[in-house]
Amino acid sequence: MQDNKLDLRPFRRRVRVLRAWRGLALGLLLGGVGGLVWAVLDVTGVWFTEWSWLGLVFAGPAVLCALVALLLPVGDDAVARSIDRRAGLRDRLGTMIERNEAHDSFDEALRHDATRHVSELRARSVFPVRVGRWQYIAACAVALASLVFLLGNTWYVLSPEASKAKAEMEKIAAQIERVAKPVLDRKDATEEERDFANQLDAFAKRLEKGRMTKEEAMQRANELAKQAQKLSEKRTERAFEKMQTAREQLTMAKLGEKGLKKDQLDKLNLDSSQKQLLDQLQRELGPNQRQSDDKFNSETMQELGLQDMDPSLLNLTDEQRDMLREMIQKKLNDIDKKLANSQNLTEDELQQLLDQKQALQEMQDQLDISEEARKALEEFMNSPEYKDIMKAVQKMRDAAQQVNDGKPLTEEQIKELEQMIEELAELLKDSKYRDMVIEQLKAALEMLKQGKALGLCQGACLSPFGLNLGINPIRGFGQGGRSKDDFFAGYGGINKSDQEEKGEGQTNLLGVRGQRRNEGEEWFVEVKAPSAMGDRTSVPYGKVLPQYKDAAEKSIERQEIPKEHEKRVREYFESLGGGKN
Amino acid sequence: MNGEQAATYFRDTIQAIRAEIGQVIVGQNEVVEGVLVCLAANGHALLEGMPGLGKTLLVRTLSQAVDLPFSRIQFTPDMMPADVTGTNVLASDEAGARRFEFRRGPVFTNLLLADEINRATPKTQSALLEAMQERSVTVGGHRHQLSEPFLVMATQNPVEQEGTYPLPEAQLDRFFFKLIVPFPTRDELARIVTTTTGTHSGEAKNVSTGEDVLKIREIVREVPVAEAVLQYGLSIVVGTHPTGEDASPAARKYCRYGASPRGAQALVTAGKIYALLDGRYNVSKEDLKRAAKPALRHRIILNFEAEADGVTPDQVVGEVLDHVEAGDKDPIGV
Repeated sequence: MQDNKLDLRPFRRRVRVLRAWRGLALGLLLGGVGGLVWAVLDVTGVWFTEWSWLGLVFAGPAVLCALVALLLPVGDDAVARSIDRRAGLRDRLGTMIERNEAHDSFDEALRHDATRHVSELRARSVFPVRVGRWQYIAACAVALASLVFLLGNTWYVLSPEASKAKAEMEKIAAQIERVAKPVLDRKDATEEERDFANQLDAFAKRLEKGRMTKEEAMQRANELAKQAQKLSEKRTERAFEKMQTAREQLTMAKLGEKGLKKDQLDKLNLDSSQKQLLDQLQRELGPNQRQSDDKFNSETMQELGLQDMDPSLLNLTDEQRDMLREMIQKKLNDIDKKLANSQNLTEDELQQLLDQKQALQEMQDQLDISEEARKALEEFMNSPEYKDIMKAVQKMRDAAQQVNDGKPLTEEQIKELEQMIEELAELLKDSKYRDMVIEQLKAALEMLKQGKALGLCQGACLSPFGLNLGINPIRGFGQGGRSKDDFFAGYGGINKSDQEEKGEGQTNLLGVRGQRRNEGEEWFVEVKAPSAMGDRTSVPYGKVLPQYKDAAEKSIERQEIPKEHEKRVREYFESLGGGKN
Repeated sequence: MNGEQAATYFRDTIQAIRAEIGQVIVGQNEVVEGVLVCLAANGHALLEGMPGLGKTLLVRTLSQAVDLPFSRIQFTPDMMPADVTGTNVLASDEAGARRFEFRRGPVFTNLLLADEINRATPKTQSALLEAMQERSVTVGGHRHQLSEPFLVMATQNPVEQEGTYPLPEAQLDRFFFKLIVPFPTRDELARIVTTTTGTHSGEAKNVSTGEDVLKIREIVREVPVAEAVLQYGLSIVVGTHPTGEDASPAARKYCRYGASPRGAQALVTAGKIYALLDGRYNVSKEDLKRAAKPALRHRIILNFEAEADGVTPDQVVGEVLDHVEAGDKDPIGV
């Protein structure tokens, strides 16, 4: 008896392999297209990538599609009919699978025939792994994407000058990246700062890839530097705010030690009706009594960190306070009398009297508190601790101002401030306040440190291009402006020879070497670059040119221009404005 | 008899008949095979070819090989239906009593050669209709059954059109196959001339009987057809219909009418026979493709555009096959 059992498992497995192969190709095609898009974005500078990412884009979809294809179910009927086609079995298997349960006269013979034919087949030969059109297309897509990426990042095809420029740009990019990374990594960085750091990072990448002209790079560096400055200022502002809070808390802590609570001080803040009442009472006391010693003016309150507090009550003298108290008592007695005869009063009048009484009583309380507060504040202001606190706060303010001026704190300064904060905390007995004050001051100090990082960003953006706002403290990067020690420098277009070179418009470019004011030699070269600071001018060129020309003429008259260059200066201005004033 | 034995019996019978025909007929393999397919399928064959290509000889040889009586009718325009079917004649018996007696026509045979059928008038041509389809003849109100197996092989000359009456579509549809008898090749012609002008002319021996023919017809019906294969065959037939959804572009352009359901029956039956001849127990798509032209070429009616472009039914069927083949995809598709 023949074994007519048809075993299609090897063929099913093979079909899975083929499907995976096809899936791989389709996935690779998908990845290739994605990679091509990314490579184009990379070349155009919209979104940069690296080989590793590009490889991931190629391989990811390919592996995924291959896995999906491998796991898809494979039906026996489909496999049988496919084998019939591929192995030329003339529909033997398809018919057999369909008539598996039938027992007509030819069915047994058909099963035997089909089984015999299948047994002679090898799955590998029926379903060979071939490189088909999808594989070719996928390979082309990947190759194209790689080519686009490669050409966009290949510098050896460029001139030696361009390669050199690229190398320099890469160095600058690394420098900027080093500065941007800490800002990005910082947990407490604001959204704005992160955004800035991202921009800086993108700028570095563009530089690294050499996708910017030098002019563009300098312009962008200028923009970023301005942004960095703004962020730095914001940081300093926040540091100031923190310091203000710390000072307020210090004052509150010291007053608390003298038995004065914050809610009591809050009561001294007069609303408009209370101010009106105080004013009325003072008027009734007579013009002489309206004078107060004004010891607690807004400046003093500011220094104490109590700038939100109304000093009106604090500035009353003891005599004024006693007289006011007496007057209030007298008025209260009058009101009580009136209230005793309340049967003659209307309801509104009664209510008015009650309100007046309440307001006077509150004022009485406030006078009492103000007396205590005044004494406590005077005592605090005369104490050596206050002087220490003020000194410390002043140091912090100076440090903040320094950062705001674009001069980051040195390591020594930071250490000194940290020590000062510790010493200041020692002055406070209340641990709750101590912690709060330390926290605020440390936060302020941290912001000042970050201001340093932003300053570095600014420096990193500008210095490599020889552009500087004059606020970058990092030595070696060069300062903006022309001086004995520093000079304008930049990339491209510098003619260092003594031969004139035709520039844009009517300008002739020439490196000029000579003496200035008899103080030794120096180099200065013209740099073709956009203005380093501020927006582009809106003043018409023709309007300012005569002034500049006059200034140049005066300089020549004062013999500030080397004699051999006087002619050149005159020619220059004449070439710009046709010699008209 | 199990499947393998039945298939072997079928193949042996056909091959024996074929071998005997081969003794007499030189070449014309496709025509001989087509005629044998018609014999096995219980169908009739329409042979189209020039005179002198051995059509009559083929039928005569076949009758000798299967040991069945053979008649030949030479159709002419003046031929009457009674000349085909037979007629009632007044006859007297020995006692002198007169009565009508049916005198059988040439149709009462097993193998009938209707030579140059298109020369007869439609009236006479249609006399064959009942015989071909119903296997019976009705004369004078009496139905006379024809003996089985019954095979009509009609011939027509494609060149001479004058004085001919093209077969009506209904009658064409009754032919299982239309076979084109080609002119023999040079080698074949040489062998024909040698054989027929020498002293030893070939003679077919009796290798089979009418019963064998009936038996192989039963075997053919048992060959299984897979659904996919059947659908493939139906796609071919439907593809010839110019107005159908699945019409092929060629049918849309050149066909007036597509093949009838008899075309589909013929296609599948011929497919079964080809499968058995090929030593298989199932019908394949290739079998259907092989049967498509002889089974469908006379069943599709071309339009004027086809005539103007010189397109033949074979070309249209060929394009339909290409169209169907293109739509038949590998189910795995990798």
